[in-house]
Order: sequence, then C-alpha cells, then structure tokens
Amino acid sequence: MVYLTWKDRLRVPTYDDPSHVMTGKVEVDAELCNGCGMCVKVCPGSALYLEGPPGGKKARMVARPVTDCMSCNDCAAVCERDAISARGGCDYGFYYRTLFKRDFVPPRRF
Amino acid sequence: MTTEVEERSGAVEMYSWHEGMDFNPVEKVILERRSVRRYQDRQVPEKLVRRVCEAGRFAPTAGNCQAFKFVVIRDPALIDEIERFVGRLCRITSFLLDWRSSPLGRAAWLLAQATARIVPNWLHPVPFGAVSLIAQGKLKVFHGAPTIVLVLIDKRGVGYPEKDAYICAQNIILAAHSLGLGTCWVGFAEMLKYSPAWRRRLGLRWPLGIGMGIALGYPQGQPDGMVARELHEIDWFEGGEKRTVY
Repeated sequence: MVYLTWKDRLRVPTYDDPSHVMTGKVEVDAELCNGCGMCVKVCPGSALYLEGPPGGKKARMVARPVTDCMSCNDCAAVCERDAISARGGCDYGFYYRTLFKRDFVPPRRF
Repeated sequence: MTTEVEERSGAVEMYSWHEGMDFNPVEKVILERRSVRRYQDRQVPEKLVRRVCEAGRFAPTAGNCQAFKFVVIRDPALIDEIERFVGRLCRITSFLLDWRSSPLGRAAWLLAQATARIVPNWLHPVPFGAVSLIAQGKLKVFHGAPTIVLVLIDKRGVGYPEKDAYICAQNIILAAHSLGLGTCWVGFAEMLKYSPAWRRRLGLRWPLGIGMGIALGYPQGQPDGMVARELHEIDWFEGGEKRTVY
C-alpha cells in the first residue's frame, strides 16, 4: 500500500499558503463561555484570544487562515464549562500529510 | 463483582476487566494527562520529586540495563540560564532558516528547504513555529516550571538505550500526574548538547548523552481532563484475513 506518492514525499512547502495546510479549528459556544481566559493561557499555539466588551468577553480563534492550532484540545480540557473544543484535525499537506487518522472521538470504554 | 460495601468505600477495580467497565485509576491518569504549559510559582516538595523519580527507576529497560540518569534542576537562576542559552540557539536557527523574518530572505528559504530534506522531523512546521516563538522571546522553553528533570542516556546501554530513557520519562510523567503535578515534555532541552560548556557543567560527557527534559510543577487552573482525539486505523490480522478497525 502506498501512503505517500513520490510527489508528496519530495514536497515540503513553507505552509504559508492556506491551500497547503488545514490547521486546527476550534469552536466556542458563546452562550457557555464566560470569558475566564484559561483556554487563551494554555493554548500552546497562541491561536486563541479574548474579544468583546468588558464583562462579556468571549474566547475567539485568531482570524488567520493558517494558525498555529494543532488540535491538541488543551483548551477543551481546561474549560470548566465545556464551552470550547477542537473540530477537525490539523493536517499539513504533502510530506507531512496526515495518514490513517479519522474523526475526533473521546476515550471509549471497550 | 464488587459488593455494595466495596463500592461505597471507593474500592476500585484493578487487574481485571469486563466489557464496558469504567476507567480504572491508571487509565484515568493516562487519559486525563494533558501537557501543562502554565505553572504556579510554588516549588514542588523535594520528596515528591524523589517519589516520581522512583517511578522512572522501575521502568522496563532492554536487558535490565537501566542506562539512564536523572538530573534534577531546581535553581531558578540555572533554569533561566538554560532558557537563555536555548533562546540564543533558536535565534541563530531563526536567522539562518526562518524565511518569514530572517534578513537573509530568499537564502534562508533555500536553506530551510535543504534542511527540511535532511532533518524533516526538526523542520516540521510545529517545532519550527516553536523555534520562532522562543527566538522572539514569546515562549519560555520550560514554561516557567519550578523543577526540571533531565533524563540522560548512558550510550553503552543494551539495544536502544534512548528508547529505554523515553519509557522511563513517561513513567515519571504519569506518576507525576497521578500525584497532582503538571508535566510537559521539553525536547528543546536536547539543545544543551551543542554547547561544550553546558556539557561540562551538567556532566553530559561520554558515555552520557541528553535524552529530554521534563518540566514539573503545580499547574495553574485544572488543565487535566479527557478530550476527543482522532481515531487511528488499526490493521487486524485474525482468522486468515485482514480487517481494519478503529
């Protein structure tokens, strides 16, 4: 079975172009988020920030097509109100392309 | 079967399995462990660090060679010095390879392209982004942790002593989490090997080499918790055929 074509193997783009990479996406439930900012603090990729009027701040994802979000879900783990979670894995194209991984699923009890 | 009394007394099932059972404490520690990058200022008690190192000492190693050595660093000044050294190396790396900010411009891009072919793992966008952040002083190498454990490798060990050292480090990390500490693997600690001065100072002389660093400390907030992760494909050979399970 071939996982990577030769073209993929030889190509390591700079990933400045959003069509070469799909970095993680984080969804925030604006109703549950109380703007405590813990997710912003723990985010290893600095992909989150707080926005909104004082007292009504909400976590947001930085509005760039290529962020440093790697879908680690540290934000989801730290959130006390389950208001935030990563949707979809981070996939760098070509040489670093994601193989044999599927949807996000929490730990299962077999 | 647990009796009602056992359930009320908080007795937990270990060393047995039935389908659909709840996670046992070991599984919970493994599944709830998150890498911690925000630490409280308060120091970890010395005995607690000694205790988690015990978990490392009993890790499985090839041929029971135990080819590892721990170095515990708890001096804020020394940790600071290491961070400044790694920062300096990251600035040099950034200058040579970071096409986004380097004054070398296109030459840096070419150099990065060549380096990515030679050491693709190091030039992966994620660690490369971290190098840039450390170079700009936006990321602290040890995340402000009050205690650092370096795992050194005795290169004369059986088979692949570095793998044994990593298993040993994972034991330390899981034990530390189960005792209420936060941890983070710090691969950048390996950069210490490039400096003769640091090699002398930390005893990284042959046959000892550096494996990785572990940041230890009390986390800010409650970073531990179970999260969703990608399902991974598993090839399953049984009954004369191959299946794919998830």
